[in-house]
Amino acid sequence: MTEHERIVACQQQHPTAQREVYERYAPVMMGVCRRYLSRIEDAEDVLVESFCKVFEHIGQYNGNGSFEGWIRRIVVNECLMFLRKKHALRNAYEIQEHFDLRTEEHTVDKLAADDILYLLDQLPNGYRTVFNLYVLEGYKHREIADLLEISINTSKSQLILAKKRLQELLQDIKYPGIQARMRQATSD
Amino acid sequence: MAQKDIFDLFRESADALNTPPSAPTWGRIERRLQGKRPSVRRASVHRLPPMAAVAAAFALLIGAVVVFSWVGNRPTATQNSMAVSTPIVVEDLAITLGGTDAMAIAEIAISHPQPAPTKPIQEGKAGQKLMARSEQPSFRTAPTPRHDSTRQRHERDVMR
Repeated sequence: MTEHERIVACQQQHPTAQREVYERYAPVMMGVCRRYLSRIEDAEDVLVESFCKVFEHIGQYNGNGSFEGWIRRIVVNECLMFLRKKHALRNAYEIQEHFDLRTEEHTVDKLAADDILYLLDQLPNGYRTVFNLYVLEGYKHREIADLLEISINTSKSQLILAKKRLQELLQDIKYPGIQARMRQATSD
Repeated sequence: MAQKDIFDLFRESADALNTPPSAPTWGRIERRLQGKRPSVRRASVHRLPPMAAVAAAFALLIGAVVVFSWVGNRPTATQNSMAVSTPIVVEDLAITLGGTDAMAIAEIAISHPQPAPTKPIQEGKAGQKLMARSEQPSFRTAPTPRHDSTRQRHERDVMR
């Protein structure tokens, strides 16, 4: 069954096609939920809600853009809605300081899943959400400001603070190989 | 080795978070979908076009009027039984008196005289016992024997 046939079958509420769509996209979307939410139970709750909305409104998908992108937008919106309900985005504020981030670069090739989750879990919800939206979803600051109902400057501030905090954390935890790579970078 | 910005580091590593959710998650979604999915019976009612619904309601109304009018005009059980049984022949009770009949009637009238008109019953006084004239106590007659037991009657017989 092709992607198009699967979508058409889902629009006719065919249970087998719905199951196939879930099995294909659930792992990716679970990863998205985990980036926004610390607790795995919350992530699964949001995933359930998101897939219910996907199957309920699949008739609105008109084929423009990728199907995965359409599902991802629903999942991200559900995550933000969950955070709003929990009042987790209230403490976002604007900073006046300026950090020169160009000198703060790392030489680590890749982060392991547990380390990503650990690092994200150390961030306040405001930093974490803006970081996810900007870095991993590709939203612009204007779009983030509209989504979170904050100012554009607040969005930028949150991103700068998130980046600074992540750099500090990476150094603090002595990420495998990071010290050697940093030494190598300074000797070069 | 080329240095990486921390944003790129996260972008390239983000796929590592892709993990399948726990097994009961699909069951939860399925239950929610089954709750929202219309059943066949409900769907047939909801998908009825408006004109068909109006026609069905009209047909029901006509049917109800026909049934109630038929029930109203239907004969009752008594009427039914009368209709089924044999017709009653009404006997002519008119008597035409001939000469001999008139004589016979006169004889009967003589042999059965009309009873004298009785006196109307007078209302008694309140608090008194109602009894027939023959039952009224008289000083000349013996007092009404008292009802006695079998043993008293036996003793009386023995003394005799």
